[in-house]
Amino acid sequence: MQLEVLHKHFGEETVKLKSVLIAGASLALSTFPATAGELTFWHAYAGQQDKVDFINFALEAFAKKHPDITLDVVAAEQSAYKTKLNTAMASGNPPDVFYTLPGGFLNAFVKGGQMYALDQDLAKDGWRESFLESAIAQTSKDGHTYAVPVDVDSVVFWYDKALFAEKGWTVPKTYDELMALAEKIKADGLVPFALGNKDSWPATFWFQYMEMRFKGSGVVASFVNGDANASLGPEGEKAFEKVAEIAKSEYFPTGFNGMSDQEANMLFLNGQAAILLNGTWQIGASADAPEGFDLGYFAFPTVAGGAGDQTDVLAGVAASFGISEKAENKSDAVTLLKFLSSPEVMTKYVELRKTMVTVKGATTEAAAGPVLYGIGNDLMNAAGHLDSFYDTAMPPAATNTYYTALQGALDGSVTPADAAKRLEGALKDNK
Amino acid sequence: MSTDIGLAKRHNRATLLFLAPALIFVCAFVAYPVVYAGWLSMFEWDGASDPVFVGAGNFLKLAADPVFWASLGRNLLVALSAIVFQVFLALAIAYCLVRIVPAFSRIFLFFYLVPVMVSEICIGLLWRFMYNPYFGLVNAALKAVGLDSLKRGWLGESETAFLAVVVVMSFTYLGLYVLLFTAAVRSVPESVYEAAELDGAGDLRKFFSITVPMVWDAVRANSLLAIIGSLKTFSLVFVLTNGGPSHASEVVSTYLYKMGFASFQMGYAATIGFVQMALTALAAWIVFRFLRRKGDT
Amino acid sequence: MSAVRRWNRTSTIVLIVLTLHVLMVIFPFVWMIYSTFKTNKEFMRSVWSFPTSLNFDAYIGAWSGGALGSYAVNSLIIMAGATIITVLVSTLAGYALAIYRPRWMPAVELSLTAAMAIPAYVALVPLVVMLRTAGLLDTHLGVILPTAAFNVPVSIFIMQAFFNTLPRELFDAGRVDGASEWMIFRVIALPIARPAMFTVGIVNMIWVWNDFLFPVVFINNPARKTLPVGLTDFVGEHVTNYPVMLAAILMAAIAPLILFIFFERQITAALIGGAVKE
Repeated sequence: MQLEVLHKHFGEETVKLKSVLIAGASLALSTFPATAGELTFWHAYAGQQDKVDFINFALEAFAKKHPDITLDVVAAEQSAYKTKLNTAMASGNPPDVFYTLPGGFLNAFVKGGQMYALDQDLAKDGWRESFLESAIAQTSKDGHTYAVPVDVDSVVFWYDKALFAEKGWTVPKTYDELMALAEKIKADGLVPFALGNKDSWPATFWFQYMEMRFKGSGVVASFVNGDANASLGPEGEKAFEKVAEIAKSEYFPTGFNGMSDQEANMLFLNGQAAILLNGTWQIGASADAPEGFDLGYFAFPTVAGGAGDQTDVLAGVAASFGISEKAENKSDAVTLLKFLSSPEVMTKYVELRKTMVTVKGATTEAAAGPVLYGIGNDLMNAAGHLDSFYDTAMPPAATNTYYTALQGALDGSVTPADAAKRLEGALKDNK
Repeated sequence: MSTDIGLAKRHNRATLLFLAPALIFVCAFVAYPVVYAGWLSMFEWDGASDPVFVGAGNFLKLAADPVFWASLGRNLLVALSAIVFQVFLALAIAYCLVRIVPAFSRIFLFFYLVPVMVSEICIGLLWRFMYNPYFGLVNAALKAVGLDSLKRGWLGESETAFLAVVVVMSFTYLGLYVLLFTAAVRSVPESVYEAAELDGAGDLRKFFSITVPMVWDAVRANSLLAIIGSLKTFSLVFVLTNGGPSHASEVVSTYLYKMGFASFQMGYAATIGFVQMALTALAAWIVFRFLRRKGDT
Repeated sequence: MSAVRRWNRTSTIVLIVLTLHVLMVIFPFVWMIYSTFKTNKEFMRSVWSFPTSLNFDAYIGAWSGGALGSYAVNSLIIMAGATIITVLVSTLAGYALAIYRPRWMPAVELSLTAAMAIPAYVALVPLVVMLRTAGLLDTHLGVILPTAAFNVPVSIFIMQAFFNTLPRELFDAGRVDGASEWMIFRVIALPIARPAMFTVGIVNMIWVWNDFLFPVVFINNPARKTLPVGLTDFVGEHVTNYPVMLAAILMAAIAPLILFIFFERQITAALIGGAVKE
């Protein structure tokens, strides 16, 4: 409209002005590569067949449903992905939409003002309500939500029902029963608990459950939320002690601190180790088990005298997608996120990846299969609280201390008291 | 006299021209990151928020950081083991291939090169399986020869983890040096050996008195390669132990990676990188001078 | 070599020792090869056992699971580009440092030593910013140039060491005849330097072929991925199909190995520099 006014008053000059404006606009556009309808999308769904199957399905379906939006997709395997994303973030040019771990990882980006807050978009069309509350809480900070949670992993004890039946072992209900069973297994020449702690996170399940049983859920969450009274408590030291005890009793495999999680899985599937404390991805990981292997699970047993709710389950959001604050095309980005978190896509996720998702009702029995559905329905619904993964929830710098302290406590090089002190210090330090 | 000055001028001009491409390259792609690293080490930065100036804070932290110094020590051990078990062993093997069993040299050389050409993911994976205490071949082999008591958790025990990694490195990179030394050993004239043989020299004498001195340039160059490689070594350690258990096999580059990309402490990571660079440059400088032959400047 | 060595006891001992050593070095790769003929189920059962039947599924999976062909081409382009640049640049510089010995040489040497020592991870962020500004991010050149730059200092030192072993008179002769510095370099220095250039070339080819960090961070377009990056497509977070992954690795390694088999004679000849001095 302004141009018409100018045109009326300035005749010839406006032609020049128009061309200058057009030149200027195209120059401006050319320096910003993304135009409406284009998005850069980075994800880590590579390296495993189930991940690849899912992302291919999702991207194809998206292209069909929204042909007007073109996605510039970049995929990388998990650890390479982190290097790429951090470098992109640090060099000032993050992707528009990207996969991120919730908790400390995401919060670092939030702190730097790099994430677009989804509050307003979530409020529309009941999008927020479609998610499980506990899931959305994990991608939110200080009342704002910065990413859309996708799947939920929960940690239980896994065992081979056939092996137990053959040996006449029964599923333990209390911690003491568990230890007694471990002694029996060891006497039988097998490894009681499979554990491959090279990457440090597998042992965290043991520690966290002990802390949950002794003290209760939400310990790390209180630190992250800036609660002044947050503390591991003396229970922290006890938890480290207990885990160190298990290691000393040789219930874990020899050299577990150098064994990868996948090697431990081999021991488990081949019947050389009897029990494995691991996430629900174990269902997919047991696909190549020998004939006759019958995957079963049981909840972490109760600990006598523990102050925490003994029905609590370790479960947390594993993957989420966020939008960069620098993204130009936020509405298209939101469309993509809405699509990814839609019930149809989410149910397909469950079916292909055998993992629970964060969208209510999407984890159907048909898609999940009996084992996963059982865990979700029986165990998690009945749980007093769901405690999210410590190592993901805490700030990344603290995670490093956590891993080192735990590995040290397990191999005896760090005393439980010291380990607890280090962890407490790290959690307090890095708010 | 005037020709001398003219010559010097010509030389200077030529020097500049000849060195220009290299210096431009290195300045553009290496100098800028070095300066950046130096600058960033004065800040605390998580890669997402604004950097926070801390001056010498990171350097003081580094000076008091036992993990860093232990890691640096390990890099030195790797360098030392590389010199002995990769460079010198390769030279000995090259001598054998060229002078003792020349008919087999081609095929042996090929086999030695195989690990060098295969990706490190595979090598790491393979050796993890080898070291696995339950189904790994290392423990199985020890049991087979009756050395049951030597069985260990290898990569999982702090006492043995680093050693286990160094052994893998020795097997893996050897081939490259064997190739380079084969050429160097072949270029030593037969006449020198013949003269020694007339004096009754056996293979050992010939090796130490003739071959080694005559290929000393190659020894120096390859030692330099080995040292630089050792100080930067990353992939094998990362894949085999990730620096664990609890920093027992940590080297500087894995520690830097952890600080920068896992802990989001990019300022501190830059400090580690910068200090490592300074110390390495100093060490390489010293070693290189030490290995210098008489008569060189 | 005119004298053929007599086979004696030393020869036998050496042969046995070397054979044992070589077996230890290559057994792992023999394992890799026969493992590719198993199914993942078989593999998980026993990592070391021989396959019960020749199963080619792993190769099919490896070929179709990634785009190994295009990855290899990208690796080849980057390897060739970086190696050629490095060899040329370092030969020139090494020659200048050895022959001209400028007064400011120690400064240059120290700078190059420092440049050799900088860990690549530290350089990631500034390099990404630089490459993006130059529009080179996500291109072959964007990987070739920094890779070459990081390998140049070591290569310069190798070339310098080589040129230092040559007698000065060789070059002075050309000067007396009135030849320009460039001609002296091209006509006298280059031919003699071929062995050293080949050495630098081969070492660089191996480094660049296996390089992972720069390609994974600087390249986003899947069509431009290199082999080491593409191979990570076969490594899973919780589950890995080992035979497929090993098949992919094998196929990735085949190219350089075959090249070596065919060109071994030329390579060793070039490394020596032609006829052996008598």
